[in-house]
Amino acid sequence: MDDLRKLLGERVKCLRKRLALTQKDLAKSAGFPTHQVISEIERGGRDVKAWELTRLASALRTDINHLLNAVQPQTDRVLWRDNQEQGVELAEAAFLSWCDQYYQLEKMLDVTPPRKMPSHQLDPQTATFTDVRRMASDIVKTLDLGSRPASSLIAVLEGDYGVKIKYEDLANTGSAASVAGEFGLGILMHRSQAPWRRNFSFAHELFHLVTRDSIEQDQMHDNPQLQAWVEKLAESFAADLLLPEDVLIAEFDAILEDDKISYGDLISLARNFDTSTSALIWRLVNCKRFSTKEADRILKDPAFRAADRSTMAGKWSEPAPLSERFVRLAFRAFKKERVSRSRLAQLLGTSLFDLDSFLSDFGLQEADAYEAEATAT
Amino acid sequence: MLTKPKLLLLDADIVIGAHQYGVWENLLDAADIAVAETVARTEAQFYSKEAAGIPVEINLPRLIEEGRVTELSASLEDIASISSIFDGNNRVELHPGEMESLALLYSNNADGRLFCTADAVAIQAAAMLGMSEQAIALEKVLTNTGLQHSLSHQYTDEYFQRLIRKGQERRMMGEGVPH
Repeated sequence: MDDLRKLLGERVKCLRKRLALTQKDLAKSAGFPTHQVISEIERGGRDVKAWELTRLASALRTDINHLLNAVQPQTDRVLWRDNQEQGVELAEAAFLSWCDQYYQLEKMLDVTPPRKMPSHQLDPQTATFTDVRRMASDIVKTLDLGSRPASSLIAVLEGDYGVKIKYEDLANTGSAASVAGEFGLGILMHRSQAPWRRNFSFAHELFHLVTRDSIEQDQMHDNPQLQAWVEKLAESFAADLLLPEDVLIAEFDAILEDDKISYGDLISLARNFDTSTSALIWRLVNCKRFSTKEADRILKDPAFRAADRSTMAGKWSEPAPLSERFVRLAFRAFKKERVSRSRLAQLLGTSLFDLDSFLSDFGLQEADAYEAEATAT
Repeated sequence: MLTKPKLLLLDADIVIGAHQYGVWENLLDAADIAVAETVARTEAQFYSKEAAGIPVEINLPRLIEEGRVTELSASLEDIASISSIFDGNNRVELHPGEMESLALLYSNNADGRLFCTADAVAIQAAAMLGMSEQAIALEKVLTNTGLQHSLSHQYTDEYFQRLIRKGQERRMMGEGVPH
């Protein structure tokens, strides 16, 4: 018993430090009256009750099995886009724990992604924007993203390659993050940003996922200059991927009248590709259709900005935190009697009371008729 | 003559179900009810008589304070033991409240109570731990206490027995605690 207490204490301390929490922070977050309680638990000098263990696990962004058995999923470093260095540890730990839960459901149901994410060799020290453009073009073809990559990207990443996608409010942390681990690949996305910015972030994170084997992450972490350069390459890749040159130029040239394009047509073109107007305009600079000076002028013109803003509301949407794939997978595990109903509610971030209405929002129901089976030939 | 299952350990679904069917108060009078601490503090909090209806508070902590419901707490060691059994190859996903209830039962710290649950995984888990005889369906509890009520399928003894058999089969295959 004492050994178990000591082991638990060590794990609590280790996880707390990894999350950069003080004993006071953890006590508050887990609902304990004072930080002395945490101190006693970490020293192995206090019996921890089951419900306290649940609260501790939740505050440490893990689950009780991991807390008791010291099994933490093996992962690479989480790569952040626009990282603000605030609350990174908590957001990462919650995301990694969720990726692991997702993976456990996949294992339980024997689900494997239909395709394996390609890996591209790219030496960041010598890579050029041309290399990245070529790579983006390859990826559009390999992933079969079509002429409007933004409209298919998320479904392809999730459905074909099993990328685990979670949406969170990351306002003070960063706009997106990606990671590879024993659970596969994962992308954490800031939920409350414009859909076209999210698309750009997805394409940016895809760059990191396909170059994960050739860009040494620890080396990048220790070298801010290299990191900044790789981020530039990722930005360039995202623009190249979402706005394929041949398709974009053909459509842009078709709209031109006397070498001119109206602001309205420019904005429509951006919406058509599900990208921001600034991404489109800089891509057109890149494709030699605008000069840098003209691009600057357009983007600073109040009339353009007002027209751009006026079209945003119609396309604005905020995704649910959990993807439909995850919800359906968890529900399937429940229907296969591998996950209890209470645990299903916990996995879906809801309560037993609200579970039925949560499921019905996804068109799922517990009724037995749902279990009727069809036989394939 | 009715046999009263005097000592019961209830799962959150049963607490909520008994409230929905309006038999909770009668059940409290007819049997000695206990819940695991995690169920009392984090799970069984609201119920509603109709789907998506207005939530009504259950407030188990108040009933515990009044001495009408007993709260049982599993030790760290008991939880660790259950966690290690159902982790890895036997992996079934249980809620911490269900894990604590099963831990109390498995470590003989449930004061000889019968575990009443309607959850397919929890019922199988009880059988996988070799505790089929220590678990009971809500329908049987109500019949034994003279509180017969028409219940949805998951609360019936038929449903319960099917899952007990399934859990026993899994135990025979070496899942859970092999004999």
